[in-house]
Formats: sequence, C-alpha cells, structure tokens
Amino acid sequence: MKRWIVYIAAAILFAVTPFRGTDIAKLAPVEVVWLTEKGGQVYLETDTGDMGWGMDVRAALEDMKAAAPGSIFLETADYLIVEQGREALLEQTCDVLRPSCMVCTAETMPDMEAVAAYLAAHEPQITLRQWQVEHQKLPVLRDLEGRFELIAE
Amino acid sequence: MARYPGEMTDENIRKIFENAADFNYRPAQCGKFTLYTYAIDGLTAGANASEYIFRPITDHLRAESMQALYDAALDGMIYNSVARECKDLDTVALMLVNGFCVVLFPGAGAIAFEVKTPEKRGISAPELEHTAKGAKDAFVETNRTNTSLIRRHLRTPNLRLYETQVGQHSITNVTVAWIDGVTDMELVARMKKRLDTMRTDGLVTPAAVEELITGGRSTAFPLLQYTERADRFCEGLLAGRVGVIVDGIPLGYLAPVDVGVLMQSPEDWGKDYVSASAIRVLRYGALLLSLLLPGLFIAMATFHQEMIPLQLLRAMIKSKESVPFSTTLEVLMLLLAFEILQESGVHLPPSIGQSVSIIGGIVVGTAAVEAKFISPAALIIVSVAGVCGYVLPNRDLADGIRVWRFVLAALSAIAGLFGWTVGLLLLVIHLSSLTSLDTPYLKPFSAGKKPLLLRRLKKQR
Repeated sequence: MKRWIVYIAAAILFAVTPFRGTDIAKLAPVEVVWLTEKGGQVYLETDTGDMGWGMDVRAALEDMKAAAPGSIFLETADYLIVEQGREALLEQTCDVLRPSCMVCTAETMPDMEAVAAYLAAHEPQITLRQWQVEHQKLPVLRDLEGRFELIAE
Repeated sequence: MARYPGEMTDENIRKIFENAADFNYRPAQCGKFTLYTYAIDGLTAGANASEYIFRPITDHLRAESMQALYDAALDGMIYNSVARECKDLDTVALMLVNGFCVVLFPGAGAIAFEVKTPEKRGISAPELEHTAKGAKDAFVETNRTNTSLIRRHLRTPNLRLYETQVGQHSITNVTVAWIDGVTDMELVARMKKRLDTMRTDGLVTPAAVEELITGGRSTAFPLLQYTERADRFCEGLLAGRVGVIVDGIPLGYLAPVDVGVLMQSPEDWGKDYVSASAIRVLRYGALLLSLLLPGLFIAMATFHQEMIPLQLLRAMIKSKESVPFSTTLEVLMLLLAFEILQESGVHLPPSIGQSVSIIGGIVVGTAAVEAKFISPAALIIVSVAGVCGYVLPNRDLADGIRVWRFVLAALSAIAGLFGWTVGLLLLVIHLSSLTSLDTPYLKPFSAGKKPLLLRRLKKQR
C-alpha cells in the first residue's frame, strides 16, 4: 500500500511540476540582433524579421515577442550589433542575451540575413560578458556597398 | 504425495489412461501366466515393441512363478538395453508418457522397457543466433538429444545432469546441467530448489519457464539467458553458470546472468580480441542510443532547444513547417507505429513479413513525411533508435529496452531533461536491485539490493 502511495505521490509531483515546454515548430530562432534607440525609444530587430519598440530593452523585447508570429528564441542569438554611440544600451541586454553572444557596432542597420553569414565567418572577438567586465572597445562593422568589413579598433 | 494412489493392478493402470485413444493395452501369454503390456501409440515404436518385448516374452520367458518371471525379465531375459522397475502407479504413468512400454507382472511388479519412437526433429543449424565460424548444431525439442549435444561439446565426465519433472499436468522433464568443480554448488542448489518447489500446471512455453524459474518477476529485463546454440550453452557452463534444458523447448537456459553477459554475441567467440571488443563497444553504444535517443530528442526539441546547434535547429524547424503534431506526439506515435510494425512482422511468415516491413517502413514512412504528417527528424530519430535495438544480441534485453524507451520518452515529454534524468535514475535503481539466481544484475557495480529508502518501505509493510 505504501509503495502505491509513493508511486501516486511521484505521479502527482510530476503532473504539477512547472515544466512548460515549447514545441520546436513554434520557435523563431534568432541569430543576429540589431539594437538602437530612436526618438527616445529602444528599437530591436532580428534576422528573423521581427522588431520591437519600448522604453528599455526588456520592453522592446516584450513588444517584439507580442508581435512575432512564433516564439522568439534568443538562446540561439550569436551576434549583437549595436548602433555606434548607443553602447550604453548593452548593459540592459546582459540579462536578456547569452553572455557568450558576440558584440560589435555599426553605423546603420546592415542587411540582417547577409550579415549573419559574414559574422559566422569573421566573428567579433568580444563577447557580451567580456564587454560587461572590461568595457573594451567594440569592433566596428562597416557596410561597403554590400560588402562587410569588421574593424577591431 | 502420490498422484495416483492404489495397488499396481491392470485395472488401476487402465483407469489412469481411461478414454485416451492413443493408449494401447495388450495381454501377453507367457506359458501358463498372463502378463499385461501398456504403451502409448506414437510415443513408442511398434516394431521395436514386437521384436524386443513381445517376442522374448512369448518365445523365451518361462518360469514356475510370477515372481520368478519378473526376476528373469529384469535380469535380461527380455533383451532390452533399458529396463526400469516400476514400484508404483506414478512411475508406471511417468514411464508410459515418456515412451516406455510397461509390462505388468500381476502380483510381482511392473517393468518399463524403452522402445521410444525415433520420430523427432533432427538437429539443424541455429535460426536466430547465426555465426560465420561457430558450430552449426542447435538445440531441438527433445531433452535427451539436447543433453547428448552438450556431451558432444563437453566430453568431461564432470558434467553433471540432474533430471526432474515439473508441472502438475505437463510433467515436463527438466534437466539441470553444470560442471563439477567449475560451477559454484550454491548456484546449483538454488536452481534445484527452485525447480523442486515449483508449483505449476504446465511448463510448455518459454515464457512460463523463464517466469517460473526466475520467480514472480516484475521486470521487463531477462533474468535468464536463453540460447539455441549448444556451443554457447557449453561456454556458459564452462564459465561456471548453471544450465537448464526443458523438454519440448528447443532452447537452453543459463543462469545467473548480468547485463555484461547479455551483451555478448556468439560471434564474439569467433573473432580476435580487438575486433570483438570494438564491436562490443559499438553494441553498448547502440544500446544507449536505442534507449535514450527518443527521450533526449523530445526533451531537446520541447524544452532545451538551446542545446541544438543553430543550423540544425533551423533545419528542424523548417522540416516541421505544416506538420500538425507536436514533436512529443510525433515521436510517441512513431514509436508505437514501429512497435506495431515489428509485431506484425513477428506473426507473419518471413516472406510476407518482409513485404509488410518494406511497405510499412519505407513506403508509408516516406509518404507520411511527404504528406507533412510527420517531420523527417522525428522519423530519423525513431528509426535510428529502432535499428540500434536490433544490434542487441539478446531479444529479451532488447524488449526490456523497448519498454523503458517509452517510459523515458514519456517522462521527457512531461519534464524535459529533468524527467529524462529521473527516468534514467529509476532505471538504474531498478536494474541495480535485480538479481538472477541471487547474483546482482549490474555486477560488479551493484550488490543487487534495493535503495535503502525502498528497503525501509518494504520492511514497514
């Protein structure tokens, strides 16, 4: 009898545990994120084509998630490009993106799909975590009429 | 307790086999005395009975009293290589169902002469456990033929064969085999005790044998190793294990077993050390894949997508576009379909079974992917897990893995990698608490005891 009580308790425990999965089919995996500020509002755009506005990064992200056709999946984000001069926004991204996400700056938003392939081959050498600790100078991504160039300054 | 009490008389013997159409009874005149002969048609050879029992009785056997006749017959006047005295009705019945012809000397006793029919299946090559180099003789349904096969492989006089009958109605001959000086006699004693204390109506199917010899088992894993190969059986005996041969079942059973033994293939003994070891490592890998892969896939696709490389994740998401089912449902349905397909193949003749496998596996599988019913990734995962299951040399072990594969997949669907890990822990606890003939199943990693908490719970009950 006691054994059955243990079994039933285990089954109930399993049933009420707060595990909530998201099926892979609903995901929109992000590889590159563009971060800037326009008119006092934070603007985010991803290589999946989703975008969001908000007072801060978290709000912009919420806005993007609400508007996206799938479930925005930032765990796969490998590169974060921040507009030059807006590096202060990076502090807000530290608890949103993975610490190993690589960071660079750019003057304008590049073609997001094309830049993902470029960055995969020519990775910026600074991660979000390194920037957070050392506040190093970020490499700059230049868009030269369809060609990209990553300059470490 | 006697099964058939009463005096050993003609009337009582015939009463045992009352209404049995194949029961043959015939009085034989021996001088001034009348003897009675009994046999079961089909189990005895009529020509041998006439030549080696009736002819000596009518032509040569003469004496002044029934007791003298009995003694003369026992001393060789009836020339037959095997003559056994029957002291009671139980022995008479046992001898008759084993193909002996019983001659009753009223008031003196009864003698059973061996005139078994030669009709039995010949020794053939193994059907399930093929090897390129190994011996080609497999066990058959006849107990004595099987013991002779063992003797031919193991010529040692130290080979011991203990015979007993099991089953209230089947009265099945069961032989326990071991090698004196090699096998731990404690194991032999345990096996004998199990057989002698076995209470069952019949012992006619392999499942009954395994269930009854290993005790009331609540596990999907085999606690006995079976083999159809006489050479493999003898290898087991040489390794110090106890063998069991059951009349009517073309298999030999070996105990104790552990996971390591069940992962050995007869082919291993025909290869060099390096190749055999490499293949065995591969086999362990296949075991892990077969058991863990579906659950791991569900966990990763539903809860831990960050573990999947981005390119692969994208490919998987793309392949799942328009598929109406969740990954969990897909995998569970495919596992179920795989089991159904496998089960249908088992019950069909090989030629039709192959067609069903091709239609079910390739045609329906491809069509289902093209129709966006299932995603290719799920199909690949389930197929890989299924094929890896076939690599395991012991079918019973593979069946146990199949059951636990479902358990792990279900737990992964509920709680991702946490559930998967919990399932794995439960499996390890379960396996480590199993014993085969009181020998730990996960030897040498476990002592074959349940965890302390479970033992305490059991004690309290």
